[in-house]
Amino acid sequence: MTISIGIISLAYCAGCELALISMKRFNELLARGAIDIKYSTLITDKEELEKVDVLFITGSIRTFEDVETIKKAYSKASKIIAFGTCSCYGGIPGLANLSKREDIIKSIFNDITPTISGLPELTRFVIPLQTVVKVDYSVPGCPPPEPLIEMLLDSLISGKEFTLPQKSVCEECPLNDGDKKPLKELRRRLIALNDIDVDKCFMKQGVLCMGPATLAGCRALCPSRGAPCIGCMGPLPSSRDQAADIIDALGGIFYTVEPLEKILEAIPDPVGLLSMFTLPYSTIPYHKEVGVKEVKRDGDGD
Amino acid sequence: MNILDSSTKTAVFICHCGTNIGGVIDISKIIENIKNIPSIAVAQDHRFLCSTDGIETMINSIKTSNADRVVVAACSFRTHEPLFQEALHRAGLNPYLLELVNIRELCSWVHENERDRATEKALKMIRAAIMKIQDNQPLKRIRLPVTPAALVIGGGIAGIRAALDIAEAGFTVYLVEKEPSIGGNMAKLDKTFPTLDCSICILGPLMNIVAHHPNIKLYTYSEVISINGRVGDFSVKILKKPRYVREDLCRGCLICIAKCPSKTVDEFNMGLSHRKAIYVPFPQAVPRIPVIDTASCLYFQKGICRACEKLCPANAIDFNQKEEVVEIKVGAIVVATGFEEYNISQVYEYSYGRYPNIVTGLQLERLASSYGPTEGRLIAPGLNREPRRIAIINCVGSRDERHLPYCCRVGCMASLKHSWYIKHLMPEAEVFIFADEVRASGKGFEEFYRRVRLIPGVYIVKSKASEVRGNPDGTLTIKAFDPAISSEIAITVDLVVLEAGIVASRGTESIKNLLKLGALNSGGFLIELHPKLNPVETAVDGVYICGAVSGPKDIPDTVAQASAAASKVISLLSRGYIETQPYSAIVDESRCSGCGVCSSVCEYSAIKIVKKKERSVAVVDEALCKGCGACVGSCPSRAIEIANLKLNQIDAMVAEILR
Amino acid sequence: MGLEPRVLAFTCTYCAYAAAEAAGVSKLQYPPHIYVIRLPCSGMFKSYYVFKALREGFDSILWSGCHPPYDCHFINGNYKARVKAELLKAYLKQLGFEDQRFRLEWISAGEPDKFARIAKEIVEEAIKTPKIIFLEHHEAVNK
Repeated sequence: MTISIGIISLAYCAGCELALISMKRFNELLARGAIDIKYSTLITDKEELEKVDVLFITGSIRTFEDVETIKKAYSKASKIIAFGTCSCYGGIPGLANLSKREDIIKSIFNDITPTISGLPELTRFVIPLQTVVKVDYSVPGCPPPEPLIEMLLDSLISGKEFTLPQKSVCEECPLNDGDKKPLKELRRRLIALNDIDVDKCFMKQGVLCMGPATLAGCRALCPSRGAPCIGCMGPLPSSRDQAADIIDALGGIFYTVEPLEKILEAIPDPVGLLSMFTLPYSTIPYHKEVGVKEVKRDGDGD
Repeated sequence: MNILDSSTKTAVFICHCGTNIGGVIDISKIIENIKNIPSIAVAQDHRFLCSTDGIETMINSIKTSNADRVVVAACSFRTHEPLFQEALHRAGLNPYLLELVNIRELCSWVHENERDRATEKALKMIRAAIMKIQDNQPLKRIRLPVTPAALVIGGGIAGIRAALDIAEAGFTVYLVEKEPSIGGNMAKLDKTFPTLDCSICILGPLMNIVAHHPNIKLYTYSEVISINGRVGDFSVKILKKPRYVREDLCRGCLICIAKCPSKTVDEFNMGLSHRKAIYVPFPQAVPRIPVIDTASCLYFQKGICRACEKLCPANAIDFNQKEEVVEIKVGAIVVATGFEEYNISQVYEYSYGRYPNIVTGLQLERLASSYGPTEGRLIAPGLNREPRRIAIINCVGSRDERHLPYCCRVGCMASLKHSWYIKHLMPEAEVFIFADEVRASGKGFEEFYRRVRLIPGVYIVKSKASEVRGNPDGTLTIKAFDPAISSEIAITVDLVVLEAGIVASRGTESIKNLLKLGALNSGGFLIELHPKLNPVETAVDGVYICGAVSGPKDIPDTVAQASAAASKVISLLSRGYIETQPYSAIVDESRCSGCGVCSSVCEYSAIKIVKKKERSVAVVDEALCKGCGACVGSCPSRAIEIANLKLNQIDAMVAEILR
Repeated sequence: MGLEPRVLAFTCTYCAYAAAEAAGVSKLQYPPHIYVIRLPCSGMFKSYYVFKALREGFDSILWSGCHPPYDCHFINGNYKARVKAELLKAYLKQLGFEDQRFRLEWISAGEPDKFARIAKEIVEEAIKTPKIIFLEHHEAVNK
C-alpha cells in the first residue's frame, strides 16, 4: 500500500525538503514503494497537485499567494502535516513581524513602487500554518531532526498516531547534570563561544542555551556537539510562549548578576534571540506598529 | 475549567461588615448576578460574617446546600483566614477549600466615591475567586516530630547562657566550641563596663555549671562540619579535634605544661606572650584539660622530646589520638559564634603592627588582666616599662567608609573602661582619648562616662586622630585636629590603645554556608528574620542566632538575646511537633525534564533531581517546602506548580477579570 | 465600559500585598481599574502573564515585591523577579510597546502610600494612552 505524498513549500529555504529526502529511511521507503512523492515543486515535474494521502507543508505564510496555495491544496489531502518550524511556528521568516510590510518592501526596493508585477502581496504579518488550515501533525525543527522524522514515518506507515515528545532538550542532553546553580555572570553568546567548555552545560558557564525551553526530539543535536541550543524545535507542548519560558529560567539562574545592565549587555537582541523561531506563534506575535490597532478612549476617560 | 460545566458546588458568602463594605458596594446586585451561575450552591450576604451568628449561618448554609467549597468576600486573610478555615472545618470541609476575597481593604475602602465601579470591581473579584476555587484540592498539614535536643554553636557568654536556659528546661543541649575552652571573648576581659565587675569572676561560675550540667554535653576543641535536615530533625556532624590528652584520665595537675620545652605565641593573650606547645588557654579554662598544638610540639615536628608523656602521673598523654566525628540529632540550632576585632593593620594611618606599643582594646584587656602576659601590671610592650602617657583612639576601622561603615557599639564604653584601668593601676599616668563623639546610651553608661571624665589626668579630645607615628626612642606621636582650639595637635605617648571595630568571628562564614543563612556584607554578621520583631530567629526555621554574631553589642544585650533564643528553642522543643505549611510545590513528572533550575533556585533545598526509571525528574520534600513558588517562577516547562495556586487557576482569574 | 483602562497587579504576600491592604486601612483612595492578584513571593511571577495580560486587554501590568536586598520573606525571590522584569522590558520595548505598560516596583509593607500612589499613576497613565487591540492571526490575511 503506497502512501502518496505531496510537498507544498511556502516561504521556505528548502532545508526541510532536503532533510526529508536525504534521509536513508525515506529513500528506502521510496525505493521499495512504500511511499511515493506525487508533488513537489523542488523535486517533481508535476504542475498541479492531485489527491494525495499526506500533504507536507513547509515554509511560513508570508504572502497572499501562500494562502491561496494552501486553500487550493488542503482539500486534496487526507492528512496535513506542518513540516518544519516555519510551518509550525513561523520560523525565522517570522522575525519579519518586527517590521511593517511597507517598510520591508521599501528597504529592499527603495523608491520603486511596490506593485512590481509578479510580486505577491505580503500578508500583514507572518502567521503559522494552523491559522489557515487544520493541521493533523506538527513536526517542528529547523529542519526537523532525523529521530523525529523517523517517528513521523513510522506513524504514517503503521497508521498509529504521531505524538510529539513532552519534554525539553535538557531531558536528552548529555551535558545536563540536573544542576543549574545561580551564576554571577551572563556572557554574550558569540563572544563566549570562543572559550566555551563543550563538556559542560552551557547555562552553567553563563552562556544562554535555549534547551530548557525547547522541545526535545533532536537528541540534543547541537549541545552534544559543542553548540548551545538556539531553540529551533520551538516550545514545549505545555508551554504557551517560548520566550517567556526561557526568561523565567534565566531569572532563576542569573538573579545574582550585578549590575543588572549586564543581563541586557549579554542579550542585545532579546526578540531575535529568544523568539528566533517562534515569534508568530508567541503571545505577542508582532511589533506594535505591525499588528496593534489603537482606539481612542471616550472623552474624559469614562 | 469552565465553571458552567463543572460538578462542583460553590457556596459564596458576602459580608457587609456593617457599612464598611455594604455602604459602598451594592451587595444585592452581586448576589443577583452570582446566584445565576449554575454551580453556585448558595449565595448569601451577612452583616457581620465573622460574628458568632455569621459563622453559624455560614456553617448551616454550607451543610444544607451540600457545598463542597466556599468563597468568602470580606476582609483581610491575615486577620480572618483562620476563623473562616475553622468554620469550614466545623462544616465538614477541608479548610483549604476556601477562597477569601478582600473586598474591603482592596475595594470598598479605597474606592469610596465610585460606588458603581467599586461594585463592578467587587463582582469581578468574587467571580475570579469562584473560577479559581473550582480547581482547589483539599490540603493537609503534615505533623512531624521534633527531636527534644538542641545544638548551640559557640561557647562564649551567649552560647553559655542559651545552653544553660535550654538545659534548665529539661532538654539535652550539645554545646560546641572550637577553642580548647569555653568562655569566648568575655574570658579575655579584665572587667566589664560600667560596673567594673571582674569579668572572669562572673563568667567562671557559669562556665562551671555548663561543665557539670547533666543536660549539657560539651564538645570543646570541636567544630560543626555538616548540618542536614529541617527544623525538628537536624542531623549534625561534629568534628572533635584530637587534644592528644585523654580526657578521661587527665587530672588537671598541669605538670606537662611546666615541663614542656617548646614555646610559641600565645593566642589567648593575643600575641603579647608565649605559651607552651602543650597548654591550657587560661587558668579558669573549662574543661581544664591541656591540648597539644602539633605545630609547635617537638614530638610532632621532629619526633623528639615526649617529656609530657614521660612525666604525666596519670598516663593521659596519647600521641596517637585521632580526630573523631560525632553524629547527633537535634530539633533546633542556636548560632552564637560571636565576634572578633577587625584587622586594623589595614587602617594604615595608625601603624598597628609596626610598633609593639600600639595595642588593640582587647590586647589592653590582657595586659590589665591578672592572668595576662604581665599579670596585671600595665607594661607597655616593646618599651618594657610602665607608660606615663597613653593615647586611646576610638573608632579604629569603625564608622569608616574605607573599612566598616557601622558603629562598633562598645568602643566608647571600652575606652572609658580602659582609661579607668590605666588610672587605677597608675594614678600618675595621663590618658588622652581621641573620640569625635562619645556614645554612652546604656544603663549606667552616662554616669560612668561622667565618672571617668572627672578623673584628673583623663583628657578627651573631640576629634578622630589622623595618624600615629613611631619615634626613634620608642615613643609614639599622635596627630589630630582639635576642634576646641581649631588647630592641629601632636601628642607624644608611650602606649597607644586602638579601639578596633568589630566583625563577626571568622568561623561565621562556614556556619552561614552550612545553614544557608543570609549575612551582611560588611562585618559578616548573620541576618535576623526581622530587625525589629524577630531579633533571634532567622529565615531558616529552627535556626536561631544570638549575641554578637548578629551585630555588635555589649554583654547585657548579648545575654538578653541568648535567653530569647533559648526561649524560642524551648517553645519549639516542648511543643514536640511542627506542622508543615500545606501549599507545597507539586511536580508533574510527565513534563519535568530534570533540567534542575527549580532545584538550584530553591533557597530551602527542598527539591532534588532524582533518577526514576532512567529519567531524571524533580522531587519535592514537602517537609522543607515553604510554598514560595520560586521554582514555579523559574520552571521553563510548566512542570511544577504550587498547590491551590496552579497556573490554570491564575489563568481563570485573569480571564474573569477581563470579561 | 470596554474602553476603560484595566491594570493587572501581581503582588507578593509579605510586602506589596500587605501595603495594598494597609492602603485600605488608611483609606487612601485610588481608581478602581486596578486588580490585584496575590502570590506568595515575587519569585513566583511568570513572564507569560505579562505578555498574556497585554494581549488579552490589560493596558498595563504591575509586578510588585519586597525591596532588595534584605526584605524578601523568602530570601531573594525579588532578585529573580528583577532579572525577568529587565528582560521583559527590553523584549517589549523591542516590540514597540511603551515603557509604562509593564512596571516593576518595590513596595514594602510599610509603604501603603507608595502603593496607592503607583496605583493611581498607572491607571492615569493608561487613561491618557489609547486602548490597544491586537489583531488576531486570521486578520493577517484580511485585505
